[in-house]
Amino acid sequence: MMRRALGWVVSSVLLLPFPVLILLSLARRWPWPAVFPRDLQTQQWQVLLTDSSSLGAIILRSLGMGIGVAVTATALGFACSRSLARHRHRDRLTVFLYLPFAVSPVVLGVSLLYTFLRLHLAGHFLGVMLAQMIIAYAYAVLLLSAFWNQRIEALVELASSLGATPWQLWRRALVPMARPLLAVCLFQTFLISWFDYALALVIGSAQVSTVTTALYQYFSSGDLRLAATCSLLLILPPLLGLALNRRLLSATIATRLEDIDG
Amino acid sequence: MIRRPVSDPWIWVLLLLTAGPLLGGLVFMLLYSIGLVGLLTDGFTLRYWSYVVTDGQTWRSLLYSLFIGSASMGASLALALALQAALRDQLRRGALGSLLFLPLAVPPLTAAVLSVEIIGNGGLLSRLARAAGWISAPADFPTVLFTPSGIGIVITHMTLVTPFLLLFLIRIAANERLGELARVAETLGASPWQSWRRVSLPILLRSSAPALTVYSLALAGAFEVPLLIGAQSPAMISVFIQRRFGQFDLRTRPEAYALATLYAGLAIGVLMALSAWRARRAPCERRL
Amino acid sequence: MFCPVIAKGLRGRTLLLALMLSVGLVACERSVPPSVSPPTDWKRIEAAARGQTVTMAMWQGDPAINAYMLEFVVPHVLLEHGITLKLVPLQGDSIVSALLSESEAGRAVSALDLVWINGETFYQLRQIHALYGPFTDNLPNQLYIDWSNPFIGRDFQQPIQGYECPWGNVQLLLITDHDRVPQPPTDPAALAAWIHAHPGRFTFDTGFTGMSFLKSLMYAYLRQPDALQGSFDPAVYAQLRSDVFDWIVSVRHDLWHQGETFPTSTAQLHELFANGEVDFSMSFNDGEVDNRVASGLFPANAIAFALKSGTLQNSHYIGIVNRSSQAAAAMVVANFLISPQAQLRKLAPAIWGDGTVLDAKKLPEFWRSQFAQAEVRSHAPARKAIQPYARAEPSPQLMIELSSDFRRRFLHD
Repeated sequence: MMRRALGWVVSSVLLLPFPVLILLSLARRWPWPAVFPRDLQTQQWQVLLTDSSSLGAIILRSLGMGIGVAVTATALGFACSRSLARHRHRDRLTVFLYLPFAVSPVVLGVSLLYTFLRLHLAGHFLGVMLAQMIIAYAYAVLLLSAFWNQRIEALVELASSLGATPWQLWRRALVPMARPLLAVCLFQTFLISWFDYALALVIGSAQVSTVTTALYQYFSSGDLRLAATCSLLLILPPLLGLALNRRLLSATIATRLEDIDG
Repeated sequence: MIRRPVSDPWIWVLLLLTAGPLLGGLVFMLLYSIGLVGLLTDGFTLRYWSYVVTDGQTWRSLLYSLFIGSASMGASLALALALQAALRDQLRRGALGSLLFLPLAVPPLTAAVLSVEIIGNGGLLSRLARAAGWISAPADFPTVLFTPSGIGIVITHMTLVTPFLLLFLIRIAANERLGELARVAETLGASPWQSWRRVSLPILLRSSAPALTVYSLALAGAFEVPLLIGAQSPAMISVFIQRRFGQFDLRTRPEAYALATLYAGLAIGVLMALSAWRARRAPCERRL
Repeated sequence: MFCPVIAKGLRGRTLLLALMLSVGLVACERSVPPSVSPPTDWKRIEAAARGQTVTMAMWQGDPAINAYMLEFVVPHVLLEHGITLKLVPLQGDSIVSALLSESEAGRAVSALDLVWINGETFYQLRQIHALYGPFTDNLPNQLYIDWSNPFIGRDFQQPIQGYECPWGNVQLLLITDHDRVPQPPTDPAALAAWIHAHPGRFTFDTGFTGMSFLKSLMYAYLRQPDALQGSFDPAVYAQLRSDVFDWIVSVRHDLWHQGETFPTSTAQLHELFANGEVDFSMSFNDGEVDNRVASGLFPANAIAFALKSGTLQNSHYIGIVNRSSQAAAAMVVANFLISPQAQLRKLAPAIWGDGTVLDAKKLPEFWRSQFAQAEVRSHAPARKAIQPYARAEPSPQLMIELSSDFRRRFLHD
């Protein structure tokens, strides 16, 4: 009985953000102590979709950056993860992969800014993507190195002895086998870019608008209704992604940490 | 198994993409902070470092960050362990198991906005407390946001981290076959509490300790949540560095670099210690 | 509203100045020397501007202002002058920091062309020679500007010298809900009495607007009317600071959260006011209240009012970046921003509610009546009515000192 009740409490806490954000995005006035907004209006959505610094273009850019980062990081990460998994100094190399997580993104951004300015990458979305790539790539290698076990290695050797070219091996055997893990990796590396604010701020030097920088602008204008509306836009793609690969995630999510575990 | 030599090109890619920018950036920051790089420098100087190292705010911010990071992690872990013990099967079956994934879709910026709207003085909980007749004004509601105690930051981090830890713990429990072990312990006469305390908990913690340490570091360096709902002072380290870096007082830039170097150095130190500790601890335990 | 973040910190000012001078020298050596006078033939400037892209750094936190820029200014400069105007969200010391980073990295051409600035930011940018000019005399529409108005012609006691062009003019007003506070207090003593009678219902922010509120209070304690004019006077400042800090101490325990903590920005203060957690907010845009009521954020009977003891009035400006490769196009955009058409639209409370910098007397009859009509607003007094209480901004240094002293005294920073 108690257990059931606790289950309900936990479920409601997990669900609570969504009605709160939706109500805020539709509220006209919601003064304390009203538990529900007094009047509803669609003005916040209109502001966001029409007025604002062409939010449509910003969303497209952020999506593009996220997809670009996800595909590049996952592809490179997959290729490198095998070399890492087989490497003599695997553990020592793995420490490098933790680095971007251990030092904060702000420190990472600040340390890269000068070089990026020199290369004309600061203030440019390619620069922001490249910086996000460093984190996404490290994550991809950590996640995907879990794929390489003795069974896979045996299979690789068998295929090579049967005369498969490396290209055939990857294309026909390894990628299809790793597909569920690759899907999770794409999703998570997409989120690293899609949720990023610190690097967009420091490397983007305010000249690269993303959905997160737009959200921050609304937050600092004092109109939390707009920040909430923008938040919903930010949450939507990952929710869709979760709906699509929840099953995959449940099988592999823990590998994220487990692999940090080494 | 074939051990490839270091000349494996993909290993070079790996080094180029991880150690390259990070260590390169670190060296650059160090050079800048001692006046060897930078347009305005007039040569080698330790004055920025001596300022940063002797400034009480530096250490306050560092300690505060480490405290918030470990408090966030500690509280989330405690909650996750408690929920795991209390909810058990409910977590794996049914709706709750799926709902646990929802927070993965919530970015830190949004979590901070939600905290203002839910646990802030004028938030939903305060409104409900008023409806229940417990308080009569927003100021009567306990203040958790924008306060030096940082409790709002910890709570917000907990909402982001706990579901994730729960998923992680469930996974470890399955991998290590904790259920079976617990049953063995209980048939041998242990109470459920004893079997959890003496068998399950040590296994869970041991296999997750390194991951949790790295995660705590990431939380200590968190930026968005303290930026939006943290106190003005003390500031967490990422906010502190960014503030120093963005100021137009030219002197604060080398200081910001010194601070960032200091923090990165500390984080790397912790990582190295972790890796050394793991290398010493039973190498045979390692998979692959 | 327009709130360049304030610089903190007293320490190292001498060093700062020395460094700034050295940047100045370097800047002179490396880039186009500022002594090269801008081209004056307007037809030639317009021709050179056509087809160019101009990047403008501006605070983008207010959807109303964004809408004005994106729906009105951007299409107009494109259609009328063939200029593509790009907006980037950057303000105050971030602009200074960004331009510094560029010069450190040896970038010959800046990513920014136009910057929306005033006060301290103008001061800093002038110190590091980051501004292009003098250019305002080239703009045909500058003929209409109310240059003789000290609130427009001087920026925080600094002569403009053609290095920035006035864009809008605003006055600090307090905001309250008429339903909750039918008789708003209009001087420090009355405000203190109100605060004591209503504990926890008043506060101010520690950002630009809150510090401007404190500077406004200083005027209530002024012994000589012109003591805050001209350059920074440490003795005058010390006396006024102690008066204002005494005032804060006297009301502190009846402030929001017993004055132990303060909102960090007007944004947070607005939120507290909208929620009904406090009964007052404040804004450095005297027209903002109409806009916020219309969007539903503020209660329907929110009103703005001035302190009879005086509140600050200042202007905000458009500057052109020295390393901009688009000076001509930037001037054309600046000229459009001060055109009667653009200024009129900006004035309407439903659009932005920003005061004009043009002098009605200088305008052709056609525009004059329209300007008079556009200004009608329902939640704030007319500009003429608050003008008698308008006070000039003291020098930028006072703001730096006050901000850092306030933090040290009340935030234990």
